[in-house]
Amino acid sequence: MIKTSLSLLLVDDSRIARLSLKRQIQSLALDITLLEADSADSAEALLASNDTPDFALIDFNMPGRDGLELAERIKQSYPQVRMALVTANIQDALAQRAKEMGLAFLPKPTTAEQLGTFIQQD
Amino acid sequence: MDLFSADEHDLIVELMNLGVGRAAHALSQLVSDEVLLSVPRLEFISVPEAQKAFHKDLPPFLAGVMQSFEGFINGRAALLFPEARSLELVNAMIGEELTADEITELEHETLAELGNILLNHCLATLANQLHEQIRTDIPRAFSISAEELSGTLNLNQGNPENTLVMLVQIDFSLRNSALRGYLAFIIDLHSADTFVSALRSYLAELL
Repeated sequence: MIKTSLSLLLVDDSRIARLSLKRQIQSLALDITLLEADSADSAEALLASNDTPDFALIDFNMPGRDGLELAERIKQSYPQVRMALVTANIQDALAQRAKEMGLAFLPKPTTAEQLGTFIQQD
Repeated sequence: MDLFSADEHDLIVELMNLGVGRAAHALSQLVSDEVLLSVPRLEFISVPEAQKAFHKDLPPFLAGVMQSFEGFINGRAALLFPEARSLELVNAMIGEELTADEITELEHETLAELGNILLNHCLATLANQLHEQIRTDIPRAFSISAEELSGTLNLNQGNPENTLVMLVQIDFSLRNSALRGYLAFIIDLHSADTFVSALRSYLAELL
């Protein structure tokens, strides 16, 4: 069942990467509220001050803590958030670690279809 | 430099082909256009030779992205474009109704993300195929003159005689604009041992 309104947390240090993800998500014509963060720290601050999002798209390579370190924290504090690691680092070893943590692995650049599939799968 | 045998050299070209193929697919998605990439031209050269090659082959002003990497190979990777062309790329990637000012403002960030995607696709494919791992750093975009490139790439860091430059040159073309891009991988000779042994075990399985 898809709720009438969904919320998604977008974590990427690159504004361009966030812009393109945002554009693709908006093209899906779903009712989605977006929260944007440019680092693991600002993502945690956002999570603390907002309703818990349904999904999180998380970049791997970021200054400070990387995407999997953030995902680990989110998993502990907000286990209901469904997460995907979104990265150009398409190494098998990294994809494997993401999968072991229960994250989807979306290679960059993403397509709107892939994002739609991730959001709507249940 | 005879660091690599003919088979090993051939294997590197093949792996770079794979990586660049992945990168081309990524680029075509980003610019929503067909991307044609030439077969990579691979050269192993010394630091002074690299400086000469940059001077000879590159346009006087460059826009580029650099990313450090470490793991079974250590070094820096760079994606370079003639500066005059980089705005076209930005336009193709995020274009739409942006003003010239906005495009200029976003130029470095767009290049950083483009470099992040292309360089990671090459490096990750290399690591995946060789069953090795590599860590890539945050990409950094720059606009410089060709003379400044050696400094930007830290080419003279440490003993130049201990640094091997693996230079990979690729020509890009999009349907609407001809772009010449270069990929350069600067590999520290100290880490070439693990590179060579990874190539050898790959070949041993193959042959």
